[in-house]
Amino acid sequence: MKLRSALIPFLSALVVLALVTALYPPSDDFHPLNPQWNGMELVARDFKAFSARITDAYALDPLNHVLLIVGPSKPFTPEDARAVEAFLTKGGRVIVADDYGTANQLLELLGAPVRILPGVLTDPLLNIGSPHLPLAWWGPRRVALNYAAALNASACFDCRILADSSFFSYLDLNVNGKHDDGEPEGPLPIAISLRYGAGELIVVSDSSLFINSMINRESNRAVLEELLKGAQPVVIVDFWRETTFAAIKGGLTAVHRVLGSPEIKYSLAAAVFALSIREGRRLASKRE
Amino acid sequence: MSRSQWPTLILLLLVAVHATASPPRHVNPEEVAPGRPDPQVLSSVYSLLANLFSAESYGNASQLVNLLLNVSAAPDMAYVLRRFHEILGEVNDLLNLSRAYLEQAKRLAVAGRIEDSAALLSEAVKVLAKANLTRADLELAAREVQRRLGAQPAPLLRAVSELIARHSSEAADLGALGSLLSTELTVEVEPKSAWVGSTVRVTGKLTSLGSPLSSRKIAVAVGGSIVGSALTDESGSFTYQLRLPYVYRRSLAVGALYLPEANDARVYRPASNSTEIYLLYETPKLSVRVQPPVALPGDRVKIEVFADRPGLLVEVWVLHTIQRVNLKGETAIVEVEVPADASEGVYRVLAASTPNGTLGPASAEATLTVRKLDLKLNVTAPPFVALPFPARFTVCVEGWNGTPPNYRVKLSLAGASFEVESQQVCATLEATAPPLTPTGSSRVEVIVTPASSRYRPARAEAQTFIANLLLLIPAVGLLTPLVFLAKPRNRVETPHPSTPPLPSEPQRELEEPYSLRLKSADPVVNEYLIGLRMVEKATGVLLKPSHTISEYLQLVEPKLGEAAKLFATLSGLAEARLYGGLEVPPESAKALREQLCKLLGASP
Repeated sequence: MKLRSALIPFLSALVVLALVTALYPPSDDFHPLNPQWNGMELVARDFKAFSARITDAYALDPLNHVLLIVGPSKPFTPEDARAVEAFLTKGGRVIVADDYGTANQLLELLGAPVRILPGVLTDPLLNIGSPHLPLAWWGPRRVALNYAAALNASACFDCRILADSSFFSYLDLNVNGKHDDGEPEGPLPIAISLRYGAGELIVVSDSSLFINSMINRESNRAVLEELLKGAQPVVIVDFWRETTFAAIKGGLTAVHRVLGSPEIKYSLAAAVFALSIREGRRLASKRE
Repeated sequence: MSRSQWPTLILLLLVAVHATASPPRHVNPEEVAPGRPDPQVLSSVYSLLANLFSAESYGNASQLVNLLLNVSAAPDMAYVLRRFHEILGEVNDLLNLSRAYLEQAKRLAVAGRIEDSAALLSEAVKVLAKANLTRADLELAAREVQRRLGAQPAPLLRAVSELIARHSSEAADLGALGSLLSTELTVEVEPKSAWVGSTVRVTGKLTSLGSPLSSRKIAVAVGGSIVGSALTDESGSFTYQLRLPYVYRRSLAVGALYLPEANDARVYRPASNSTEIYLLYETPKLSVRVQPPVALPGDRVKIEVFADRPGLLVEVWVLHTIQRVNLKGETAIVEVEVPADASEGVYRVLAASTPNGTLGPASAEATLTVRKLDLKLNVTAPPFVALPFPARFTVCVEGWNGTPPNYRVKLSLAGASFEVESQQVCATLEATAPPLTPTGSSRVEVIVTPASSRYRPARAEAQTFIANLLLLIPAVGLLTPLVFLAKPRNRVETPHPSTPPLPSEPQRELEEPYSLRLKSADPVVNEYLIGLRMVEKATGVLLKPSHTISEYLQLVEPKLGEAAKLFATLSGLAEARLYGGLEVPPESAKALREQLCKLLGASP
């Protein structure tokens, strides 16, 4: 009796927790389901972006999809690079947006002569409120950046510079908020395009160009439209460090997927049905 | 734990889960308010702008001012800054315009068009006057910028003032030109066409208002560069022997320039004139052929160069390399290897001869196509894959001549990938889909990457059906209760021999006997019910709603002993009353019940 009376509230708590976790949106950076300022729900909603694993790149149609590797914080393996390479070789377009330099590993594995420089791109004059939110020029368009870095494309002769920072900007290497001797001065490249096989590799030194709070700033949305060229963006989720909440949410999704398989789904329904009958009989006999 | 504590537990769990979410690494721009621009940075930008003004680099200054118009600041400061930068832009445009007028006026003055020059000079002076007026506004705005932000625009103001003064001074000098005497200079070249490298005669005459000017220095220029000079004779004529440069073009401009020196500068205006000479040179005929015109990476190709004369030095550009070859006869052959990493496509092959003396340059073009071979793939996938057992896939690769190169096969099955390297025609892979793969049809993708750069990577797909046996295990676990429930219900209801009698069950004690709920107005039936309760007490066998009077009697008779007969008679009377409608004296029933009471030793 005691076990049963404790089990029901416990199971109820578990169900409520699972429901809330499933319904409550994640707050992870760049997550396509995150509607807060740091998520990418607007990209998911307006550009029909969806999440995928890097291995899915083998199966994606390169003509109709663009891979978005945004804000990676986990290391890349040769296996990951091969998946990206396969997509590029088939004529796909891959956008790598990173300001921490984690993606340098991928660029090295791909043999792309571009690197993301350390430091924070700072513009004390041309910005959207803070020197760390500088403005940059993407061709004739003005884009707003958020704690961006800069690119080193000096060894890349085939690279086309898509965007660069202003004349007043500099790369704050020691992040002390002022320009010191030896710190690179603007204009600095912040986005480049490189032919890779039949495809195109685009490297952007700011991971937050397309987050919810930035997508509608300046011409950021127009730039994304230009980069996608009508293709559907695929946000690669393998390289983010998951929060506990996101991990639980992911676990729930996995459980939901397993429960959705025909074997489990119908067995579960049969078991629930059987248990209902037994409970019904028990209650009837108790009444007698 | 009480029920009221459960919501608290749920709340705590939720808080714990959400509190562990890591803080975002970027800032929310909505929470950032525009601040004050760094005055030091602004001061240094103004210094740079001052240098650009001093160097009269109006284009760069204009770009910089346009950038400054976008400076971010709080709204009140933004207005002050914007006003200052807008005035700077106006001053820059005015000074740029005055410079253009001054230069044009100078050119016209040198050409002797004094009236046109004076008109432009007048425009320049008007523009300078406007710039001077704007300077007053600029100083006011600069003072505000310095007061509100602490930036130092003083060097910029100085540069603007100096520039206005400089332009004004030049305008004054140019105004003095109006009083100088005009000069005329003619120039001719003989012959009108000549071979490159040959010498020609350049002649001309310098006069002022029709009078020849003797002993004046005339500079001779070819293609815009001064190559020498000559003095005029008494008739104002000059002669210069010009050696034509080895320049391989249709014609060349030959000019003469008179720049008054010393006292002449205060009397005569400068003068200039030019003419054209046609150049002669030979152009050899070149042709180039690529054998074979289509090649694979690693192939060697021959570039054959043909010329209509021997001894030419030819440079051949092919596949990003330059080969130099000296044509001993009229033909030369260059051999190149197509690099292993060459991409597929059409490459331009260019042969160009180096000019030599009167022999001009020549060139010819051809194309080299680099292509790669296709691989034929044949993927054999089992129609049915049972998880967790591995499945065997066979990938057969065929090269252009049937012999496959070394290659690497990558197979993707339900998100998992497997690789193998092979040198055989067919490679076999054992692949297992991830354990949670749902049962259903699945696509198998195969990518073959050849080791040889002569082949291009190939890709193929196949379909298979995955049956996940692992998912059946929980299914069996879930269905087990069904098996138990399928057994007959009396398995649960039949009392076990060792089961204690019903009265000892605490559950039963708590329940109210059914007989207590039975009431009747009939005295005979009422006596039966009183007797029934005594029997229930004595035997412990309770009447159930499903029992008839006879059924209950049968159940309790063995337990009643001597009282059984009395209870049977009482039951019969109750039945007769209830179902037969017979008249039964209530006293008889009461007497029977009292005897039953005595025998059972119970009170009603």
